[in-house]
Amino acid sequence: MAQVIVHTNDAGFASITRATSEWKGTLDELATKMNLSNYEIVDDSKLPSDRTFRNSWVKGSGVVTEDITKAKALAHNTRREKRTVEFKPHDEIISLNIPGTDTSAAETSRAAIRTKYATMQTNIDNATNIAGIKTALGD
Amino acid sequence: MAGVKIAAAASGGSAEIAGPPSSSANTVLKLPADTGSAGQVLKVKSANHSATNAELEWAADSGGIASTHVGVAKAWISLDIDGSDGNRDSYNIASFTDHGTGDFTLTFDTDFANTTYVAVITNDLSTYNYRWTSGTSGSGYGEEYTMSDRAVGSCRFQNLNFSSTNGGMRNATNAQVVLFGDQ
Repeated sequence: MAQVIVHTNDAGFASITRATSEWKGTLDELATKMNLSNYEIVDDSKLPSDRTFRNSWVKGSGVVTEDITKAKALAHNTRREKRTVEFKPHDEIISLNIPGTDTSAAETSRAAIRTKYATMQTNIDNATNIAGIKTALGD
Repeated sequence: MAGVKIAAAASGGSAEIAGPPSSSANTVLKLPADTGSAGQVLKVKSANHSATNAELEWAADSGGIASTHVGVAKAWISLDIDGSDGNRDSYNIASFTDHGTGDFTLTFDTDFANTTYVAVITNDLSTYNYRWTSGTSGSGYGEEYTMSDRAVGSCRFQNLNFSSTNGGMRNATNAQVVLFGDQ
């Protein structure tokens, strides 16, 4: 089983270091070369397999876990991005007020989108685990 | 045309190649008596670099001029931090550190001599992105790498994403990095 060096980086996430085949020393020697003082060597299998919420990974004891609070914050960013994409064509119709376009239909569509993403927001907040957050996002 | 004379070796020692005798400043090239062994190359003896008559010796081929030349890449890697592919191939890279989405550090096996080295980096895209050339809005994106935390033994890269909807970072998929500098 491949092993990796895990340490907490300046952003508060878990950093994962993998040696290449060119490195002939041990992982402890590599950590010394990297000037790491607070690190742990763990099996690759102890890392999350899904990188959807990569910036929620935190170093535990012999394991890397996903912090649900950080994951929810990332999920809300994704939710806003998705909402912006769906809003965009309707926003253009309304803001440009192009003759011959149906602005009231665009407003109706925008209202439906707002409702959809308000529900998603609630579902993300109520999720109790990573799988629940992904389900709320529709991933 | 100048001639070359090979004089008889004295007592089985070095043979000499000399220029025409009319010259008052012949350059003498001494070949070592030992013919060396497979894989060895002829090198100027380091002790004689400044000698009037430079001498050659058979020595191990440690890369010689090619690997130390300032114009030759000192490190490179093709990697996929995002997926399971990891390090596809590399040269003089001891390790790569995944700090998070679009954020990684390379640690060199042999350090650079200073921190004035340069890096060339790019990403592969899985498909051609027509929006870059058509100017059409949508989910297309542009990217730009930045380099930071520059040290003789490592440097850090961040892949910035200029998507219309996401001004953040993007996973380093199919990244290719080449570094030049003094070692």
